[in-house]
Amino acid sequence: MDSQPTVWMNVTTSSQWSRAVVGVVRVEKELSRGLEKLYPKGSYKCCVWQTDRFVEYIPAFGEVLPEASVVGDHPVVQPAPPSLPLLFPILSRRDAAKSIAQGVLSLAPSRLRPAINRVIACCKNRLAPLVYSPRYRQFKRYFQRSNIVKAEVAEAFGKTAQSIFNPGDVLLSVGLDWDYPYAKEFMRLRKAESVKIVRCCYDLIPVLYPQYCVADVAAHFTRYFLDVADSSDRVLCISKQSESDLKDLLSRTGGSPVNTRVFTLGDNVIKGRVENIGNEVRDIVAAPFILYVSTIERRKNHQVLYQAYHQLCKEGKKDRLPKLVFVGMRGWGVDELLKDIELDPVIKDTIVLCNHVNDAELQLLYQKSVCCVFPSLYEGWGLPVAEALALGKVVLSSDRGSLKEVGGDLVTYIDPWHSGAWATEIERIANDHDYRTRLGQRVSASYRPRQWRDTAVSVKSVLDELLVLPPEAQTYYCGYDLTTGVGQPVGPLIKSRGQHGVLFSGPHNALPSGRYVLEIWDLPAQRTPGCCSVSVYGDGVVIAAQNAIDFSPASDQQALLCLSFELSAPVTNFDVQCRLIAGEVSVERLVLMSQ
Amino acid sequence: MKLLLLCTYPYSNGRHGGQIRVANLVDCYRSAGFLVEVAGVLGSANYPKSEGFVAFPGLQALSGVLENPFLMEDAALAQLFVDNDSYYCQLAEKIQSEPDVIHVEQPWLFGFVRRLVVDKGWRKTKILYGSQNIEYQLKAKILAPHLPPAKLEKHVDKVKQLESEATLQADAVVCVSEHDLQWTRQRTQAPSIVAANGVSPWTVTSKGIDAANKISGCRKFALFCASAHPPNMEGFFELLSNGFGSLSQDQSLVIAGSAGPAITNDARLATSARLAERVVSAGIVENDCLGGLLETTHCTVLPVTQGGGTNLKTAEALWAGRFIVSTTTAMRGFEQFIGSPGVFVSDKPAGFKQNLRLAMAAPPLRLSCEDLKKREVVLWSHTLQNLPQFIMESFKC
Repeated sequence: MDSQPTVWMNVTTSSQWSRAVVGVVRVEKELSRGLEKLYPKGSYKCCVWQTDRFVEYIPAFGEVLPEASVVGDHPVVQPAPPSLPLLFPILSRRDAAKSIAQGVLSLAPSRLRPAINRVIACCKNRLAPLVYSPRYRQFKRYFQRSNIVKAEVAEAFGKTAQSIFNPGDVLLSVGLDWDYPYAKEFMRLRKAESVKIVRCCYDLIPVLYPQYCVADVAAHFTRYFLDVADSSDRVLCISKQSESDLKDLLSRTGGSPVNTRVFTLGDNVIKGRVENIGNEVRDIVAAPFILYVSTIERRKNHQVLYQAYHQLCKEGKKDRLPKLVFVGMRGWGVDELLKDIELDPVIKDTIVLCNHVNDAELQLLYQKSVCCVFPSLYEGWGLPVAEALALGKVVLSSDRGSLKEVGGDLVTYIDPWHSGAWATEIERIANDHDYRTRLGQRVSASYRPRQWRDTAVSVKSVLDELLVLPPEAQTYYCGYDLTTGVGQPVGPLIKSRGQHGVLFSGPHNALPSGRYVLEIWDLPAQRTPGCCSVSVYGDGVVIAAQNAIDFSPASDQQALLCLSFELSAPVTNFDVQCRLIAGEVSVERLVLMSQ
Repeated sequence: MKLLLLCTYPYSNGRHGGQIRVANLVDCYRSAGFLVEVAGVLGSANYPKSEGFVAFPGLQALSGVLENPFLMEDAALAQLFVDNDSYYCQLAEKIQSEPDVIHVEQPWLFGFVRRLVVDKGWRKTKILYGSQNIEYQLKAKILAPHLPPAKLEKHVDKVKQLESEATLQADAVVCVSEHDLQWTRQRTQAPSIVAANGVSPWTVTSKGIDAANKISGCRKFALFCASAHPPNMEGFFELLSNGFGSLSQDQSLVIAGSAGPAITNDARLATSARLAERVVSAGIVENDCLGGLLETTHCTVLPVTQGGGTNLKTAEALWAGRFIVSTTTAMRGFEQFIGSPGVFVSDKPAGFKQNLRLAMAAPPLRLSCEDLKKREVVLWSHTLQNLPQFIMESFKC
């Protein structure tokens, strides 16, 4: 076993991703690449979730993580043999049911979707009380118990693989974690295997603005963030806004307080090859245009730009207006807007939609634009604003969410609900050349692009903090965390009840190597004169033992036993066993301190 | 002294707060040497037959005096047993002899008593009104989600009238909290006293602990003991809705009492993220098991947002000596314990949930002998100790 802790990065999301590398996938890939360069060989590894556990991820021979985000330009990333690649991520039953429902909805003819949506919602409302009924829960418990039995049988035949983690390792996970069923595994790893967990919070949009999401996902994501808080040693937030939103949510719901760190995303625009620029983009850049890079969905508020353009055109200013180019995939809830744009004779030919652009095309569009706009109703960060600034462009942006953190005082901020203000500012930028030049020069002189390498460095500092953090004293309450043979659990206590034998055993968790002091605390007033023995095991081998520990009633607080021991290597099954030989005792807790 | 106690529920083997209070009042009076007779009407078809009690008249009879008496059965009973001679006589026949004092618990049978003493010519008999609440305010909160404003007002006015008559016409009034006492003293010159709700010490058995462990799975848990009385449900959902992060994956919220099934069958449970997953409904449990739950719980929650009076469950929680996560409403009558070790109080959902998390994260509460001694004031033997003397002095017996 390695004695030095390892930093692990969960790359499940990017290992299964075969589309354009954007958003969360890009963050995962950039961080993985950056951290690999920053850590010495062997102290940084990647892992992926497979079926029911994390396995080490070793890229296939000759495989490299792609630099560019163009679809088809990079090899499909696959986990190394013997692990088979997964076509789809393994989902929890709940998420699988949701995916089926979403699939049915998406594949249905658009005119039937509202009705199907209502039917699905109706089914959900009727099924929910059933799911939480005592009968179903009883069935579920039985079913889960059956699984446990199967796992135990498999283990007895040596079929279970050993965990890849050692106590004290750090696991970083920044992917699409809400789509995977490993949330509970993070909690288990943290508690049972002493692995330190670092997770990420991008934004709380589904919780704060569920109306802008495909379905009512507020409760689902509230659960997700509660789990993130419960299962993490550190939570990385991509902006102060996200950090504040997360803390507000946890405060509102009574969630576990989290130790957060804000890290900023890189904004260096990926360069592509000039020969990759297609005719559509060549035509667009031939005339002045204003650029909006974003998925077309309700939250992104393309509506306000349409209204501003409609107003300006109606005022007879159409000839003096640059075209407005929307670059991005078509999302949900914008059918009517796009129909308006297509049919509105007042703005005809002024708004252009452009999808599937590659990196070279995107860079050219940024460079040739008159300015960039970003009227989003809410953001957890706002990468297109940062990318535009990094290329020296003038930006008009919404003032909501984290956007002011991105642009500082280099961006003109406008209320995203106020189409008149957008019309005024767009007209000014388009027609006042001096004003635009002045703003552009200020951006070029003042904006310092954020490099992905810096992102990796800041994340590394958080990981390093955990690597060197001295282990905290661990308290195990006997009644909750240990098992008993002859005693009775009474809340946190295990009380003897007249029989002699194994009073307690446990906690059966992993422990890093090192020197330790173990204290066993009981309620001295509840003792009757007697005697017990204690043995400490590591993976079944006796590490320390003390026989014939005599005890008698006492009025003051005193430990039943204090024992020092040393572990030369980490163990996966740390077990303290106490045998009661005579007398009565109520043990409350074991306290394990690292020295 | 001969004392007749009238109420609308049986008092032996009682489960809800009213029944337990009446049982302890009877014990208290008998211990003081009073000759106590108990009679009344069963206010629900769910109560078992009891000696001295007229059977529940049924919704049809109640509907005859009050249109759609849903959640207003008590007020309908009040009218039925005054206006309907047949029902009046049925109850009057249960009363065997002329008492010196009639203690009417809650206002529902007060009209009956007024008619009885006049009909029987019991001029010396004194009437003591036992208030458990400011009933019309509580009724307004219970009915509000179910009735349109005009009908709500009409029903609440009816309860207000019954309560005012009882307060004004009684020869003495017993309240359950200082707050209710002040309210009463603004309305009547009659002598009045506080006899708060309390708790009887219970013994914890090994069998009870085993039963409790079976429910909790030997995990750390918070305990909510309540009946399915609507205010209990409303308080629970008011304070724990919109996401519930107070308990971690290995902790649970055990609900003992009829509130358990009522909550798990309520659609609101599933809409609060992580609440349904943490709830374990124990349902109505034996006293042994309840003792085991109170002994093994880490914390007791009292999400009470409605009602006056004092909460029996607060007294129980204080005597159990575990952490308490409560509201100021739940602490009414026990204000001296706000700020004492292990007692967290908040009236806002966020604060309540945060307090629950804090309590659950804290090491087990170990009260000092001094703190335990202070909590003896929650025992019935203490809360009712001045009542017999008050009656003797007020009525010059």
